[in-house]
Amino acid sequence: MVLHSRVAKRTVIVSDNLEIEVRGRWHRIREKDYDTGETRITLILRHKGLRKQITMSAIASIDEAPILLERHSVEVAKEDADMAADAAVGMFLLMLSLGLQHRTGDMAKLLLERFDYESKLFRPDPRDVLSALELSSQLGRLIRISYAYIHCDIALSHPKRAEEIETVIGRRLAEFSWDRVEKTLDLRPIIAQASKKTLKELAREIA
Amino acid sequence: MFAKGPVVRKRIIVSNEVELEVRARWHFIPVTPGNGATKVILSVKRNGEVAEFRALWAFSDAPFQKKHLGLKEAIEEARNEANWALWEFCYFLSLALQRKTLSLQDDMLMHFRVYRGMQSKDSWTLLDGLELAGEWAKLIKIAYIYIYSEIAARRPTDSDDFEKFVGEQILRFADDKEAEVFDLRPILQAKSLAELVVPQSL
Repeated sequence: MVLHSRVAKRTVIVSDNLEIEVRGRWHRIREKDYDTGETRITLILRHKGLRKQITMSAIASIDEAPILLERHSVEVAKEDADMAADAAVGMFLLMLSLGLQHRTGDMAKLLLERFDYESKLFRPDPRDVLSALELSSQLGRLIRISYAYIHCDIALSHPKRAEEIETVIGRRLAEFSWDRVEKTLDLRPIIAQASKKTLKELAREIA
Repeated sequence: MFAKGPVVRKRIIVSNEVELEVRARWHFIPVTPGNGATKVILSVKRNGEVAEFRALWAFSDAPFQKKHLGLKEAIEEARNEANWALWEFCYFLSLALQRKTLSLQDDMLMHFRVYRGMQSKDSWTLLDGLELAGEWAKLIKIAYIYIYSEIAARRPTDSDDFEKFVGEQILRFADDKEAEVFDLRPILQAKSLAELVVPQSL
């Protein structure tokens, strides 16, 4: 029986002061009549300047696929649980990257669709709609906190071109979210390189 | 200078065991936009045990703007803010009971500026609004589940019709400023919905 997946872990180093670690894990939830599963995301923010570490978690998806696959093969079920954990971490980083790129519409769509929000609107059960909104907001809170820390860090170090630099690192973060091999992304050289460019050059690069 | 407005409250008696109390109050909070916010507290009393859930309805500085007219006017404005929050709670609960899921979702996302955040470049507005909407949705869901369970248990064959009827009645209860208590028990004891809808004289 698969009880949980391995921990999928990815780290983003924003500056010498700020490091963001995202962990994902699929868990089996044992109920009386039947079992279900969920993937949880844990966000660990390490701020050296403030000497602070923030740890928060939220449900990233409700997924029963590993339990269903268990009937065929436990190995396949384990693999599927690991994939669910990887996908949850990748999805979180992708949503954060959309926030940094100020693609608010795409980010909201991804967040709200995460818990099957749109299809539930046409099923007349308000519990589903309200639960989906609650879960989306809890996951959104984790993104908001990471976004706020990155935004403050860049706005303090590069006040005049913060928005452009955010867009550049947002793009790099999106590439990192799709990459399943790379485990750590160091944004320091990217930010240093971007800060040397003029606003015109940055705008051309973004376009 | 006053730090809190008056508390306004309404009660919903779901059954002999369960009672819901909704309280709203405007508070002075210097760090929030508009220097004030209206909070709603849902108290669930069940067999003597009490559980409380909180959510923020709106940021507002209206009581401050009325301060130059006098303290009495400012307090009255704070009461209006609290009454608005209370009415909206009953409105969202009635939407859920009437299964108007699209309006339930749209009105909530509209009020907490999630749609506005989607159209602006500011990710903060969107995520902040979504978080507040989620907290509000949690409050509505808790109240809805207690009422839904009671209706489903008492009226297993016609629960959908009764749910809709109760939803309409809760909206009327919200409109009535004098009414403080809504009792679900006599509604669920009726033989059929017709007995409630059609006047007895007919």
